[in-house]
Amino acid sequence: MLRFLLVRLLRALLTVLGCATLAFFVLRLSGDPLVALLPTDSPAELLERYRVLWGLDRPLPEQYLRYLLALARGDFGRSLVDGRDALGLVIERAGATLQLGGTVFALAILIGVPAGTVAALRRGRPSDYLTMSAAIFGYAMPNFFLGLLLILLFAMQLRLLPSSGYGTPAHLVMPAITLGTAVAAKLARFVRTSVLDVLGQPYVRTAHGKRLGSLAVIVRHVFPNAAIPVITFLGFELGLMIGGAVVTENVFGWPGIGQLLVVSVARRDLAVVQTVVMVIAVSVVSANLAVDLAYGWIDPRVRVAGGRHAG
Amino acid sequence: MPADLRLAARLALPARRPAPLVVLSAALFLGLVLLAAAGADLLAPHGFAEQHLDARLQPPWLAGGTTDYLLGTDTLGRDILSRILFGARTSILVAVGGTGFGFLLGTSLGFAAAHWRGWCEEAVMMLVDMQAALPTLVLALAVLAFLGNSLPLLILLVGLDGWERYARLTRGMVLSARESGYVLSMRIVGAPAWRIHLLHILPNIAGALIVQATLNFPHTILLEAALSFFGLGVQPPATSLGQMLGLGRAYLINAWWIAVFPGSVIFLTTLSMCLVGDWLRDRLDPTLAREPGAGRP
Repeated sequence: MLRFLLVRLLRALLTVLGCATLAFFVLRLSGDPLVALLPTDSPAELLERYRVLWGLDRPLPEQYLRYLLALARGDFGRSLVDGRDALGLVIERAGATLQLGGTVFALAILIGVPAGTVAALRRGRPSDYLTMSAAIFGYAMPNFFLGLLLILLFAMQLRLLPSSGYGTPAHLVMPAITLGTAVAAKLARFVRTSVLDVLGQPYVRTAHGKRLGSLAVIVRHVFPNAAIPVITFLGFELGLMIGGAVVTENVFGWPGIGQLLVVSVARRDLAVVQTVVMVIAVSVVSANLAVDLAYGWIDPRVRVAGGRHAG
Repeated sequence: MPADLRLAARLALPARRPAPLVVLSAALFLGLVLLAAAGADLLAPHGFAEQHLDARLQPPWLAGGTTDYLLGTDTLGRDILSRILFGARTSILVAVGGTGFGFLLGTSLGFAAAHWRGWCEEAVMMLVDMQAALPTLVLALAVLAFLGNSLPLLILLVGLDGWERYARLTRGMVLSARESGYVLSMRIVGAPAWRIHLLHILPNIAGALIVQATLNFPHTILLEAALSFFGLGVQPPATSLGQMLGLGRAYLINAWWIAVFPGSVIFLTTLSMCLVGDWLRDRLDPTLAREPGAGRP
């Protein structure tokens, strides 16, 4: 178990390092941030002064090493726009994103798990077709389009909800529905597949054969086994959900990390973009690591195999 | 179904039942979109960048407009219908190109990982982990804003979305195919590795890969649309469906048609693709649906 843990931990660290490297080189090679930042008619000596100030005059490998050393000390650099600590800026925005993300996750689980289970248990009946049709609609709906439709209906026609902003529960409703629909739909489809898979297993037939009531079979045998792939799926889904959150936050003016990313990208604020990328990479990698560890804990076979891509 | 039936043979098997009406209409709709996009030059009543400043913000025909502009016009008096036709062409071009690129990249890396094992496999799986940890949208936003955009770059970035799924799927399937009887007997008669992989394993796993591509295609369309929505995708005067939606967002109150029509086309296209993809999956590869983490649901 210790070996399994160490291997997973090392892989996670390497992945994060890889992401940091990728972000660093892609952003450095893609143009001079000072050109975008300073007015076009700035004198050359001013440009030069800023270049020295931000360390952009050094050779690339040196910049890279400095960046990694600073990262190791927990120093993510300063915003090129207002000189504030980049990590602090990101953390300031993290609360709003976590609030949205947590609501969406809860919403998705509350809707997706029962819907998928019912569809699987009633396979081929009208309730299965109904839930799965709803799911495919939610799955195919672009979140930015759904967001605009909701604004059109609830904010402009009915005037029930604020079209953008942050603070009250009413502000949370539309972003949560926009982002939650897709996640709940995917989850419902996945839960249905997992439950159907487990229902076909010999041990479920045995349990039925032992004349256990069908509710008991579902609770004791189907759920725990179907839960394993579903947990893995939720871990994988986090990355896609963050992508969706970037769009949703911008449609609804939600002051989270996604909005910060788009604003900083437009301003070419190198340090902040890099920090956002790192924070996202670290959260996705930790989520997957946690899923892997949970998986190894639930399913002893994974531990023995050394845990290569349990999913 | 025996594992070594070729894809063509599997497709030619008589269906247990004909495709449901929903799937047929979805396929029909996709065909229509493709035709409309390909024939945009002939079909469009106006040019996509043609401005009619005297006919700004005309409502659609059935909502009080004229038959000159069936789906209305935008703030510069450009015909929405014509822009949808040309925009669909760009969106489809990017999505098809991106899917093709991701498919080739992922499949080749998956084959390489399964064939050479060792450090090559480690390196590929490392890249897969990295791709999974960095949402493509985030990466693409940063790259497009800093590198400036061009159509080829956009296609490459959109293609990055999903390559890791093909790689993971290919590696798994190649590894299990290597243990099967037909590959062992090929090896015994001395067939070279490339021949076994290209001519024997690839046709056998092609079904599952095509299903994966079908299921991934909607993601690709949505990614392009999202990037263009932020104004980082296709640049004016060229247009795409996502870009139209992004521009229409500011005029929702008094001109809903600018955003709603292109949005509906995106939605119906991805929906049709999902329906066809699901049907193909059930039809071609019944085992894929049961493999957690493989075919994305």
